[in-house]
Amino acid sequence: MNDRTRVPMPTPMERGAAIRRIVDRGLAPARPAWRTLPLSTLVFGVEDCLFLAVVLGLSPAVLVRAPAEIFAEHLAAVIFITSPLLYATAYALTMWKEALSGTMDWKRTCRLPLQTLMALRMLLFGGAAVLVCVPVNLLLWWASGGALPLVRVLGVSFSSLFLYAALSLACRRLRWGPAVPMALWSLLGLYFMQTRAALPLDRIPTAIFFLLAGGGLLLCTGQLHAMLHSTNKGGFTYAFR
Amino acid sequence: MLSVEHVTKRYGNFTALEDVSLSFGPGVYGLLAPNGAGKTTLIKMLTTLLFPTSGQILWNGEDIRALDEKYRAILGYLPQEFGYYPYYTPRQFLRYAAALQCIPRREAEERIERLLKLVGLEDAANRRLRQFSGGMLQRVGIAQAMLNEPEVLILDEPTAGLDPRERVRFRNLIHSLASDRIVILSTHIVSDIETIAGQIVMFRDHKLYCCDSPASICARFQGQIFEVPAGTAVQSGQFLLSERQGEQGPVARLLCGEPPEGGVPAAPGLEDAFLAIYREGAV
Repeated sequence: MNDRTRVPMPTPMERGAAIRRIVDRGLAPARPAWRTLPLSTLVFGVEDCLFLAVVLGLSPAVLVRAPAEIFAEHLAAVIFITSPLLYATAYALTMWKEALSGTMDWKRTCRLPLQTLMALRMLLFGGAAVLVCVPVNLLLWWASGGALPLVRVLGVSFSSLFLYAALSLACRRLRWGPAVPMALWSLLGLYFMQTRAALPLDRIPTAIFFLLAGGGLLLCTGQLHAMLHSTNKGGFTYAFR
Repeated sequence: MLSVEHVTKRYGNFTALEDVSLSFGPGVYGLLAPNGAGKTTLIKMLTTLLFPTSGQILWNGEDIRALDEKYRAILGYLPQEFGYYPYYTPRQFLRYAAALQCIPRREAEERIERLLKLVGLEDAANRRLRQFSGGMLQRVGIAQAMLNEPEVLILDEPTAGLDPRERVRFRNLIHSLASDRIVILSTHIVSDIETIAGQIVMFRDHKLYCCDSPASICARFQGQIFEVPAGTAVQSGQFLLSERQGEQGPVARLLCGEPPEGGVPAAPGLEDAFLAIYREGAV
């Protein structure tokens, strides 16, 4: 018998797969699909959640009617609590609505990974939070009669927002859900609202707030980058159904 | 070719599927088993919603896990409970689904028009989904699953909750889609699968029981199905499958090795086979 006949040859299916792999590696990497995604896709079906979040994000503006002297005393604490309001509400409501609507199942099998869609939505919510929070914070600062330096107000606001966003992304990674960061921020808010407890918040140098904001932003960027480039890991939520 | 190779899925100590091996080529495959037998687990693994504890699922020889996005590009899936946004029209909804499938806008528009016509919703294309009946929503679901012109179409309990007319319509639709692709549908409604599935996959004790044509499955029980007048006492070694209205009153269908007294041999149907396979004590 000829020795060549003993050489294990690939099946047509294996041969086809090998050719595809070689061609794939040889081709220039394609532009990621998410870069061409229309903005409307990010908010499709959850516009009501975003609207509610924007309303809630604007709601601290009603505090301008409070007496300036009481309000000025708690300015740092109020800014700290209210800055992530829009982001937190938008994130929690969209997660809740998606879970209730039952759309996650087929979305997970779409070509665009669900993680990518979520990451893009969080970027959008973060951007919207900055756009809404800054004017609201400026309004509160003006209403307090300039109780704190403006730079400090912005430092507290950005550090709170970016730390909250980083925390909620970390909680998502740990599969803890959006309730954990919300509960933690509420507790912190209650703690800071007490005059004595607010003192540490007042004593922290402004530069530290900006450092915290930068750190939070860096953490967010890293986690969102990982989400945008993650591969499908299977629907973990089915594990115990 | 989609192949499942020695796949086992465990949830902690519970084994949902054990050492399942299957191959799917173009055609309609029906996953037929009682609730809790592992149909949905297999469907979720085929759609990458779950991954096997051991074994692998291959698409043209490559692991679907490694193929990731490339596999999802050829996959269409209609889940058991199809989620939708009630305040949108099917056209808007399908545009959204097309964006998630990364289909260019112009191409998507053409496909949406074609699919709306195919599923018979062209007249309702601008009505809100909340006004749709269950059958119409399932047709939107099918259109959603067909948007990327999938080579593998997976439907989980697609006819559950539909009225008889919608079920017939749905079966005809599936039939028309199955000519050049793999269609896998799971159900526990025997009549749905009997008419359209070329191959039937059955599970028992969380293991693969058979993957065969309906005729071959029925043939396993040839000469073992008998009809006796309803109310006849069931003897040991006999198993009551079902009752139906005969020409001379109600009759009971029995599964037994030996012809019962006064029994008339009957041709086994898929429902007989299903009831015989999953009879008490056999599961």
